Amino acid sequence: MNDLIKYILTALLVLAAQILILNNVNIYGYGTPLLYIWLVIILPKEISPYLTLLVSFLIGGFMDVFCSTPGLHAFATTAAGLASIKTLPLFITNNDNINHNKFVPSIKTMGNNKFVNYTLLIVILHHILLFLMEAFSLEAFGTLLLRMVTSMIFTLILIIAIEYYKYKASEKNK
Amino acid sequence: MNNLIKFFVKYGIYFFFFALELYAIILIVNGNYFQRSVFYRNCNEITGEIYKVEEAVTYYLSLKEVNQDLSKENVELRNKVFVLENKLQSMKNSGDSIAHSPLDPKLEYTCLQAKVINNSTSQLQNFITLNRGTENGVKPEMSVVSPCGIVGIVTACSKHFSVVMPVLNPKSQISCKVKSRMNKDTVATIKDIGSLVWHGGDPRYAKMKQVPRHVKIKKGDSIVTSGYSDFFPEGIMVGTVHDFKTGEDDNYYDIDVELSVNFNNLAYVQVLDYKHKKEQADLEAYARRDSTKK
Repeated sequence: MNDLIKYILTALLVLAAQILILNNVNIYGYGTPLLYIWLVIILPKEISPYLTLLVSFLIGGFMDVFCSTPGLHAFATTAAGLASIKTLPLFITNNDNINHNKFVPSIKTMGNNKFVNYTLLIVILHHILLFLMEAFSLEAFGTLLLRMVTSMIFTLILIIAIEYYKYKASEKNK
Repeated sequence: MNNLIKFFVKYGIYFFFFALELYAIILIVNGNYFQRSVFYRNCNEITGEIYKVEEAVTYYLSLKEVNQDLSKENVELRNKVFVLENKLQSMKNSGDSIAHSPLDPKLEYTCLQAKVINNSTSQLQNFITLNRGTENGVKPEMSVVSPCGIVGIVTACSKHFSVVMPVLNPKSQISCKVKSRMNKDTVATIKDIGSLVWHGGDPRYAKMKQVPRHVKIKKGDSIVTSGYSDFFPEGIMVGTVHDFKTGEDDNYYDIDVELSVNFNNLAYVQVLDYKHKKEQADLEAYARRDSTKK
Protein backbone atom coordinates (compact mmCIF):
# COMPACT_ATOMS: atom_id res chain seq x y z
CA MET A 1 0.00 0.00 0.00
CA ASN A 2 2.81 2.25 0.90
CA ASP A 3 4.49 1.49 -2.41
CA LEU A 4 1.31 2.24 -4.31
CA ILE A 5 0.93 5.69 -2.75
CA LYS A 6 4.59 6.36 -3.34
CA TYR A 7 4.23 5.40 -6.99
CA ILE A 8 1.12 7.55 -7.48
CA LEU A 9 2.84 10.54 -5.92
CA THR A 10 5.93 10.01 -8.06
CA ALA A 11 3.72 9.68 -11.13
CA LEU A 12 1.88 12.92 -10.38
CA LEU A 13 5.14 14.72 -9.80
CA VAL A 14 6.76 13.41 -12.97
CA LEU A 15 3.70 14.08 -15.11
CA ALA A 16 3.44 17.62 -13.69
CA ALA A 17 7.12 18.19 -14.43
CA GLN A 18 6.70 16.78 -17.91
CA ILE A 19 3.64 18.85 -18.76
CA LEU A 20 4.63 22.10 -17.06
CA ILE A 21 8.35 22.18 -17.70
CA LEU A 22 9.77 19.54 -20.02
CA ASN A 23 7.16 19.95 -22.76
CA ASN A 24 8.35 23.54 -23.10
CA VAL A 25 11.96 22.48 -23.39
CA ASN A 26 12.95 22.27 -27.00
CA ILE A 27 16.63 21.62 -27.35
CA TYR A 28 18.00 23.06 -30.61
CA GLY A 29 14.46 23.04 -31.93
CA TYR A 30 14.51 19.29 -32.16
CA GLY A 31 14.56 17.40 -28.88
CA THR A 32 11.97 17.35 -26.15
CA PRO A 33 12.86 15.10 -23.20
CA LEU A 34 10.01 12.71 -22.51
CA LEU A 35 10.65 11.84 -18.91
CA TYR A 36 7.22 10.36 -18.29
CA ILE A 37 8.32 7.08 -19.90
CA TRP A 38 10.34 6.60 -16.72
CA LEU A 39 7.01 5.84 -14.98
CA VAL A 40 6.57 2.82 -17.22
CA ILE A 41 10.14 1.71 -16.64
CA ILE A 42 9.86 1.73 -12.86
CA LEU A 43 6.52 -0.08 -12.69
CA PRO A 44 6.99 -2.80 -10.05
CA LYS A 45 7.13 -6.31 -11.33
CA GLU A 46 4.73 -7.65 -8.72
CA ILE A 47 1.62 -6.16 -10.35
CA SER A 48 -0.14 -8.21 -13.02
CA PRO A 49 0.81 -7.63 -16.66
CA TYR A 50 -2.74 -6.49 -17.40
CA LEU A 51 -2.43 -3.78 -14.81
CA THR A 52 0.97 -2.81 -16.20
CA LEU A 53 -0.50 -2.36 -19.66
CA LEU A 54 -3.49 -0.45 -18.32
CA VAL A 55 -1.29 1.86 -16.26
CA SER A 56 0.96 2.47 -19.26
CA PHE A 57 -2.07 3.29 -21.34
CA LEU A 58 -3.40 5.64 -18.68
CA ILE A 59 -0.08 7.45 -18.35
CA GLY A 60 -0.03 7.97 -22.11
CA GLY A 61 -3.66 9.01 -22.06
CA PHE A 62 -2.94 11.51 -19.30
CA MET A 63 -0.19 13.02 -21.46
CA ASP A 64 -2.51 13.09 -24.46
CA VAL A 65 -5.14 15.01 -22.55
CA PHE A 66 -2.65 17.73 -21.76
CA CYS A 67 -0.89 17.75 -25.10
CA SER A 68 -4.23 17.57 -26.95
CA THR A 69 -2.94 14.73 -29.09
CA PRO A 70 -5.57 12.01 -28.55
CA GLY A 71 -4.13 8.50 -28.60
CA LEU A 72 -0.62 9.44 -29.65
CA HIS A 73 1.26 9.06 -26.35
CA ALA A 74 -1.09 6.28 -25.25
CA PHE A 75 -0.15 4.26 -28.30
CA ALA A 76 3.59 4.52 -27.72
CA THR A 77 3.39 4.07 -23.96
CA THR A 78 1.24 0.95 -24.17
CA ALA A 79 3.77 -0.60 -26.53
CA ALA A 80 6.53 0.36 -24.11
CA GLY A 81 4.51 -1.27 -21.33
CA LEU A 82 4.28 -4.56 -23.18
CA ALA A 83 7.98 -4.39 -24.00
CA SER A 84 8.80 -3.86 -20.35
CA ILE A 85 6.70 -6.87 -19.34
CA LYS A 86 8.29 -9.12 -21.92
CA THR A 87 11.92 -7.99 -21.69
CA LEU A 88 12.39 -7.31 -18.00
CA PRO A 89 12.88 -11.02 -17.14
CA LEU A 90 15.77 -11.11 -19.64
CA PHE A 91 17.65 -8.50 -17.62
CA ILE A 92 17.16 -10.15 -14.26
CA THR A 93 19.37 -12.99 -13.20
CA ASN A 94 18.93 -15.05 -10.07
CA ASN A 95 22.30 -13.88 -8.81
CA ASP A 96 20.96 -10.43 -8.12
CA ASN A 97 19.98 -9.89 -4.54
CA ILE A 98 16.36 -9.44 -5.36
CA ASN A 99 13.20 -10.04 -3.54
CA HIS A 100 11.37 -11.22 -6.65
CA ASN A 101 7.94 -10.34 -5.43
CA LYS A 102 8.74 -6.74 -4.75
CA PHE A 103 11.08 -6.04 -7.60
CA VAL A 104 11.29 -2.47 -8.87
CA PRO A 105 13.72 -1.88 -11.74
CA SER A 106 16.49 0.49 -10.66
CA ILE A 107 20.26 0.76 -10.62
CA LYS A 108 20.27 -0.64 -7.13
CA THR A 109 18.34 -3.79 -7.96
CA MET A 110 19.67 -4.49 -11.44
CA GLY A 111 23.11 -3.03 -11.55
CA ASN A 112 24.33 -0.21 -13.71
CA ASN A 113 24.72 -1.93 -17.09
CA LYS A 114 21.55 -3.90 -17.08
CA PHE A 115 19.41 -1.03 -15.98
CA VAL A 116 20.85 1.27 -18.67
CA ASN A 117 20.32 -1.38 -21.35
CA TYR A 118 16.78 -1.98 -20.23
CA THR A 119 16.03 1.73 -20.15
CA LEU A 120 17.62 2.20 -23.55
CA LEU A 121 15.40 -0.49 -25.05
CA ILE A 122 12.16 0.93 -23.68
CA VAL A 123 13.05 4.53 -24.50
CA ILE A 124 14.09 3.75 -28.07
CA LEU A 125 10.93 1.76 -28.71
CA HIS A 126 8.73 4.42 -27.16
CA HIS A 127 10.33 7.27 -29.08
CA ILE A 128 10.31 5.49 -32.43
CA LEU A 129 6.62 4.68 -32.13
CA LEU A 130 5.70 8.10 -30.81
CA PHE A 131 7.52 10.08 -33.46
CA LEU A 132 6.45 7.82 -36.29
CA MET A 133 2.82 8.07 -35.23
CA GLU A 134 3.16 11.81 -34.90
CA ALA A 135 4.66 12.23 -38.36
CA PHE A 136 2.43 9.53 -39.85
CA SER A 137 4.50 9.54 -43.00
CA LEU A 138 8.12 9.06 -44.00
CA GLU A 139 8.44 12.39 -45.74
CA ALA A 140 11.28 14.47 -44.30
CA PHE A 141 12.62 11.32 -42.71
CA GLY A 142 15.95 12.96 -41.89
CA THR A 143 14.36 15.62 -39.69
CA LEU A 144 12.19 12.99 -38.07
CA LEU A 145 15.22 10.88 -37.24
CA LEU A 146 17.07 13.86 -35.84
CA ARG A 147 14.15 14.80 -33.57
CA MET A 148 13.83 11.20 -32.47
CA VAL A 149 17.49 10.80 -31.60
CA THR A 150 17.86 14.15 -29.78
CA SER A 151 14.78 13.45 -27.71
CA MET A 152 16.02 9.95 -26.94
CA ILE A 153 19.39 11.21 -25.76
CA PHE A 154 17.94 13.82 -23.43
CA THR A 155 15.29 11.48 -22.08
CA LEU A 156 17.97 8.89 -21.33
CA ILE A 157 20.21 11.44 -19.65
CA LEU A 158 17.34 12.60 -17.44
CA ILE A 159 16.24 9.11 -16.44
CA ILE A 160 19.74 7.92 -15.66
CA ALA A 161 20.51 11.08 -13.71
CA ILE A 162 17.41 10.62 -11.57
CA GLU A 163 18.11 6.94 -11.02
CA TYR A 164 21.72 7.65 -10.14
CA TYR A 165 20.64 10.30 -7.66
CA LYS A 166 18.23 7.82 -6.07
CA TYR A 167 20.96 5.21 -5.93
CA LYS A 168 23.40 7.58 -4.26
CA ALA A 169 20.74 8.74 -1.80
CA SER A 170 19.94 5.16 -0.79
CA GLU A 171 23.67 4.44 -0.36
CA LYS A 172 23.97 7.40 1.95
CA ASN A 173 21.00 6.27 4.02
CA LYS A 174 22.77 3.03 4.70
CA MET B 1 -13.30 -25.49 -24.82
CA ASN B 2 -10.74 -26.01 -22.14
CA ASN B 3 -7.98 -25.47 -24.63
CA LEU B 4 -9.63 -22.33 -25.87
CA ILE B 5 -9.75 -20.88 -22.39
CA LYS B 6 -6.13 -21.88 -21.86
CA PHE B 7 -5.24 -20.16 -25.11
CA PHE B 8 -6.96 -16.96 -24.04
CA VAL B 9 -5.34 -17.05 -20.63
CA LYS B 10 -1.92 -17.62 -22.14
CA TYR B 11 -2.16 -14.94 -24.78
CA GLY B 12 -4.64 -12.70 -23.01
CA ILE B 13 -2.00 -10.07 -22.41
CA TYR B 14 -1.50 -9.74 -26.16
CA PHE B 15 -5.23 -9.43 -26.77
CA PHE B 16 -5.37 -6.77 -24.11
CA PHE B 17 -2.37 -5.05 -25.67
CA PHE B 18 -3.89 -5.03 -29.13
CA ALA B 19 -7.21 -3.81 -27.79
CA LEU B 20 -5.50 -0.86 -26.09
CA GLU B 21 -3.38 -0.10 -29.14
CA LEU B 22 -6.41 -0.30 -31.40
CA TYR B 23 -8.23 2.10 -29.14
CA ALA B 24 -5.22 4.43 -29.23
CA ILE B 25 -5.11 4.28 -33.02
CA ILE B 26 -8.83 5.01 -33.22
CA LEU B 27 -8.24 7.98 -30.97
CA ILE B 28 -5.32 9.13 -33.10
CA VAL B 29 -7.19 8.81 -36.36
CA ASN B 30 -10.36 10.42 -35.09
CA GLY B 31 -8.80 13.05 -32.92
CA ASN B 32 -5.92 14.41 -34.97
CA TYR B 33 -6.82 16.19 -38.11
CA PHE B 34 -3.54 15.50 -39.89
CA GLN B 35 -3.43 11.78 -39.11
CA ARG B 36 -7.08 11.47 -40.03
CA SER B 37 -6.55 13.06 -43.41
CA VAL B 38 -3.58 10.81 -44.13
CA PHE B 39 -5.53 7.76 -42.98
CA TYR B 40 -8.56 8.49 -45.11
CA ARG B 41 -6.46 9.45 -48.08
CA ASN B 42 -4.75 6.07 -48.01
CA CYS B 43 -8.07 4.33 -47.50
CA ASN B 44 -9.47 6.18 -50.48
CA GLU B 45 -6.54 5.07 -52.56
CA ILE B 46 -7.14 1.46 -51.65
CA THR B 47 -10.88 1.57 -52.27
CA GLY B 48 -10.22 3.49 -55.45
CA GLU B 49 -7.97 0.71 -56.71
CA ILE B 50 -10.61 -1.87 -55.88
CA TYR B 51 -13.29 0.09 -57.69
CA LYS B 52 -10.98 0.49 -60.66
CA VAL B 53 -10.62 -3.27 -60.96
CA GLU B 54 -14.35 -3.71 -60.55
CA GLU B 55 -15.04 -1.12 -63.21
CA ALA B 56 -12.57 -2.76 -65.60
CA VAL B 57 -14.47 -6.04 -65.24
CA THR B 58 -18.01 -4.72 -65.45
CA TYR B 59 -17.16 -2.31 -68.23
CA TYR B 60 -17.01 -5.15 -70.74
CA LEU B 61 -20.30 -6.57 -69.60
CA SER B 62 -22.14 -3.38 -70.38
CA LEU B 63 -20.30 -2.67 -73.62
CA LYS B 64 -23.08 -4.04 -75.80
CA GLU B 65 -25.71 -1.76 -74.35
CA VAL B 66 -23.38 1.19 -74.54
CA ASN B 67 -22.76 0.46 -78.21
CA GLN B 68 -26.45 0.25 -78.96
CA ASP B 69 -27.14 3.50 -77.19
CA LEU B 70 -24.30 5.24 -78.99
CA SER B 71 -25.45 3.95 -82.32
CA LYS B 72 -29.00 5.16 -81.66
CA GLU B 73 -27.68 8.50 -80.60
CA ASN B 74 -25.58 8.71 -83.75
CA VAL B 75 -28.64 8.18 -85.87
CA GLU B 76 -30.56 10.85 -84.05
CA LEU B 77 -27.69 13.30 -84.31
CA ARG B 78 -27.20 12.63 -87.98
CA ASN B 79 -30.88 13.21 -88.66
CA LYS B 80 -30.66 16.44 -86.73
CA VAL B 81 -27.63 17.50 -88.72
CA PHE B 82 -29.49 16.92 -91.95
CA VAL B 83 -32.45 18.97 -90.80
CA LEU B 84 -30.25 21.80 -89.59
CA GLU B 85 -28.12 21.84 -92.71
CA ASN B 86 -31.28 21.98 -94.71
CA LYS B 87 -32.53 24.94 -92.73
CA LEU B 88 -29.20 26.69 -92.93
CA GLN B 89 -29.03 26.22 -96.66
CA SER B 90 -32.55 27.51 -97.24
CA MET B 91 -31.90 30.52 -95.03
CA LYS B 92 -28.68 31.35 -96.84
CA ASN B 93 -30.41 31.06 -100.14
CA SER B 94 -33.40 33.15 -99.19
CA GLY B 95 -31.07 36.04 -98.43
CA ASP B 96 -29.40 35.49 -101.74
CA SER B 97 -30.86 36.20 -105.16
CA ILE B 98 -32.50 33.78 -107.55
CA ALA B 99 -29.15 32.30 -108.42
CA HIS B 100 -29.69 29.36 -106.08
CA SER B 101 -32.61 27.10 -105.68
CA PRO B 102 -34.32 27.61 -102.32
CA LEU B 103 -33.45 24.12 -101.17
CA ASP B 104 -30.48 21.99 -101.89
CA PRO B 105 -32.08 18.67 -102.78
CA LYS B 106 -28.91 16.85 -101.86
CA LEU B 107 -29.54 17.67 -98.25
CA GLU B 108 -32.86 15.98 -98.01
CA TYR B 109 -31.64 12.90 -96.27
CA THR B 110 -33.01 10.81 -93.44
CA CYS B 111 -31.22 8.16 -91.57
CA LEU B 112 -31.92 4.58 -90.39
CA GLN B 113 -30.01 2.51 -87.93
CA ALA B 114 -28.86 -0.97 -88.90
CA LYS B 115 -26.59 -3.65 -87.55
CA VAL B 116 -24.11 -5.62 -89.63
CA ILE B 117 -24.95 -9.30 -89.34
CA ASN B 118 -22.67 -10.70 -92.00
CA ASN B 119 -19.50 -9.23 -93.35
CA SER B 120 -16.56 -10.26 -95.47
CA THR B 121 -13.33 -8.46 -96.26
CA SER B 122 -11.11 -11.21 -97.56
CA GLN B 123 -12.81 -11.94 -100.87
CA LEU B 124 -12.55 -9.97 -104.06
CA GLN B 125 -16.29 -9.32 -104.18
CA ASN B 126 -17.18 -8.46 -100.65
CA PHE B 127 -20.70 -7.96 -99.37
CA ILE B 128 -22.23 -6.87 -96.11
CA THR B 129 -25.60 -8.02 -94.82
CA LEU B 130 -27.70 -5.74 -92.61
CA ASN B 131 -30.55 -6.62 -90.29
CA ARG B 132 -32.95 -4.11 -91.85
CA GLY B 133 -35.05 -4.69 -94.96
CA THR B 134 -37.88 -3.21 -96.95
CA GLU B 135 -40.14 -3.47 -93.94
CA ASN B 136 -37.93 -0.96 -92.18
CA GLY B 137 -37.79 1.30 -95.20
CA VAL B 138 -34.49 0.22 -96.74
CA LYS B 139 -34.48 0.29 -100.54
CA PRO B 140 -31.78 -0.55 -103.06
CA GLU B 141 -29.34 2.19 -104.01
CA MET B 142 -29.47 3.79 -100.60
CA SER B 143 -26.11 4.76 -99.20
CA VAL B 144 -24.67 3.22 -96.05
CA VAL B 145 -22.32 5.05 -93.74
CA SER B 146 -20.76 4.33 -90.39
CA PRO B 147 -19.71 6.95 -87.83
CA CYS B 148 -16.20 6.84 -89.29
CA GLY B 149 -17.10 7.24 -92.94
CA ILE B 150 -18.72 5.66 -95.95
CA VAL B 151 -19.41 1.94 -96.10
CA GLY B 152 -21.20 1.25 -99.35
CA ILE B 153 -24.45 1.12 -101.26
CA VAL B 154 -27.47 -1.11 -100.73
CA THR B 155 -27.77 -3.44 -103.68
CA ALA B 156 -30.56 -5.82 -102.75
CA CYS B 157 -33.28 -5.94 -100.13
CA SER B 158 -35.58 -8.57 -98.74
CA LYS B 159 -38.29 -8.09 -96.19
CA HIS B 160 -35.96 -8.14 -93.19
CA PHE B 161 -32.46 -8.01 -94.61
CA SER B 162 -30.50 -6.00 -97.08
CA VAL B 163 -27.19 -6.56 -98.82
CA VAL B 164 -24.68 -3.78 -99.11
CA MET B 165 -21.93 -3.54 -101.67
CA PRO B 166 -19.11 -1.96 -99.68
CA VAL B 167 -16.21 0.05 -100.95
CA LEU B 168 -14.31 -3.21 -100.86
CA ASN B 169 -15.87 -4.45 -104.06
CA PRO B 170 -14.44 -3.80 -107.52
CA LYS B 171 -17.91 -2.98 -108.82
CA SER B 172 -18.33 -0.09 -106.47
CA GLN B 173 -17.19 3.28 -107.70
CA ILE B 174 -17.62 6.28 -105.51
CA SER B 175 -17.07 9.78 -106.65
CA CYS B 176 -14.70 11.56 -104.29
CA LYS B 177 -12.78 14.75 -103.88
CA VAL B 178 -9.67 15.72 -102.01
CA LYS B 179 -10.09 18.03 -99.10
CA SER B 180 -6.69 19.58 -98.77
CA ARG B 181 -5.51 21.25 -95.65
CA MET B 182 -3.71 24.40 -96.72
CA ASN B 183 -2.50 25.44 -93.33
CA LYS B 184 -3.52 24.95 -89.76
CA ASP B 185 -6.59 27.15 -89.74
CA THR B 186 -8.22 26.98 -93.10
CA VAL B 187 -9.53 23.88 -94.75
CA ALA B 188 -9.65 24.52 -98.43
CA THR B 189 -11.79 22.21 -100.44
CA ILE B 190 -10.48 21.53 -103.86
CA LYS B 191 -13.11 20.19 -106.17
CA ASP B 192 -11.06 17.50 -107.61
CA ILE B 193 -13.06 14.59 -108.69
CA GLY B 194 -11.92 11.04 -108.98
CA SER B 195 -13.37 7.63 -108.45
CA LEU B 196 -12.54 5.51 -105.48
CA VAL B 197 -12.01 1.90 -106.49
CA TRP B 198 -10.74 -1.22 -104.82
CA HIS B 199 -9.22 -4.18 -106.64
CA GLY B 200 -8.76 -6.69 -103.91
CA GLY B 201 -5.93 -7.00 -101.47
CA ASP B 202 -5.59 -5.12 -98.23
CA PRO B 203 -9.04 -4.10 -96.94
CA ARG B 204 -7.53 -1.03 -95.31
CA TYR B 205 -6.51 0.66 -98.55
CA ALA B 206 -8.34 1.63 -101.73
CA LYS B 207 -7.19 3.53 -104.82
CA MET B 208 -8.31 6.77 -106.31
CA LYS B 209 -7.42 7.06 -109.96
CA GLN B 210 -7.37 9.80 -112.53
CA VAL B 211 -6.83 12.74 -110.24
CA PRO B 212 -5.61 15.72 -112.29
CA ARG B 213 -1.98 16.69 -111.76
CA HIS B 214 -2.61 20.37 -111.19
CA VAL B 215 -3.82 19.73 -107.69
CA LYS B 216 -1.32 19.74 -104.91
CA ILE B 217 -1.80 16.72 -102.71
CA LYS B 218 -0.12 16.01 -99.44
CA LYS B 219 0.02 12.83 -97.47
CA GLY B 220 -2.68 12.90 -94.82
CA ASP B 221 -5.16 14.97 -96.83
CA SER B 222 -8.76 13.92 -96.36
CA ILE B 223 -10.78 12.27 -99.08
CA VAL B 224 -14.51 12.97 -98.87
CA THR B 225 -17.48 12.16 -101.04
CA SER B 226 -18.13 14.69 -103.77
CA GLY B 227 -21.90 14.49 -103.69
CA TYR B 228 -22.07 14.23 -107.47
CA SER B 229 -23.42 10.73 -107.44
CA ASP B 230 -26.92 10.17 -106.26
CA PHE B 231 -25.91 7.89 -103.49
CA PHE B 232 -23.91 9.87 -100.99
CA PRO B 233 -24.39 13.33 -99.60
CA GLU B 234 -21.44 15.64 -100.03
CA GLY B 235 -18.58 15.69 -97.61
CA ILE B 236 -18.77 12.31 -95.93
CA MET B 237 -15.39 11.03 -94.86
CA VAL B 238 -13.86 8.33 -97.02
CA GLY B 239 -10.27 8.17 -95.92
CA THR B 240 -6.92 9.90 -96.02
CA VAL B 241 -4.17 10.07 -98.60
CA HIS B 242 -1.67 7.39 -97.72
CA ASP B 243 0.57 7.68 -100.74
CA PHE B 244 0.38 9.01 -104.28
CA LYS B 245 2.27 8.65 -107.50
CA THR B 246 1.88 9.54 -111.14
CA GLY B 247 -0.01 6.96 -113.11
CA GLU B 248 0.69 5.42 -116.50
CA ASP B 249 0.17 8.66 -118.34
CA ASP B 250 1.77 11.52 -116.51
CA ASN B 251 -1.26 13.75 -116.40
CA TYR B 252 -2.90 12.04 -113.48
CA TYR B 253 -2.16 11.00 -109.97
CA ASP B 254 -2.93 7.61 -108.58
CA ILE B 255 -3.68 7.96 -104.89
CA ASP B 256 -3.55 5.23 -102.27
CA VAL B 257 -6.36 5.98 -99.87
CA GLU B 258 -6.30 4.71 -96.34
CA LEU B 259 -9.98 4.05 -95.63
CA SER B 260 -11.31 5.62 -92.49
CA VAL B 261 -13.71 2.77 -91.84
CA ASN B 262 -12.28 -0.42 -90.46
CA PHE B 263 -14.31 -3.00 -92.31
CA ASN B 264 -13.05 -5.81 -90.15
CA ASN B 265 -14.95 -4.71 -87.06
CA LEU B 266 -17.92 -2.98 -88.55
CA ALA B 267 -20.93 -3.33 -86.23
CA TYR B 268 -23.45 -0.50 -86.44
CA VAL B 269 -24.11 1.45 -89.61
CA GLN B 270 -26.62 4.01 -90.81
CA VAL B 271 -28.60 3.78 -93.99
CA LEU B 272 -29.18 7.16 -95.61
CA ASP B 273 -32.38 7.71 -97.53
CA TYR B 274 -32.33 10.46 -100.14
CA LYS B 275 -35.94 11.57 -100.32
CA HIS B 276 -36.00 13.11 -103.78
CA LYS B 277 -34.03 10.40 -105.48
CA LYS B 278 -36.91 9.28 -107.65
CA GLU B 279 -37.85 12.80 -108.63
CA GLN B 280 -34.30 13.60 -109.62
CA ALA B 281 -33.88 10.39 -111.55
CA ASP B 282 -37.17 10.92 -113.36
CA LEU B 283 -36.28 14.46 -114.27
CA GLU B 284 -32.85 13.50 -115.52
CA ALA B 285 -34.28 10.67 -117.58
CA TYR B 286 -36.89 12.98 -119.01
CA ALA B 287 -34.29 15.58 -119.92
CA ARG B 288 -32.15 13.00 -121.62
CA ARG B 289 -35.07 11.64 -123.57
CA ASP B 290 -36.11 15.12 -124.52
CA SER B 291 -32.68 16.10 -125.81
CA THR B 292 -32.36 12.94 -127.87
CA LYS B 293 -35.72 13.70 -129.48
CA LYS B 294 -34.56 17.06 -130.78
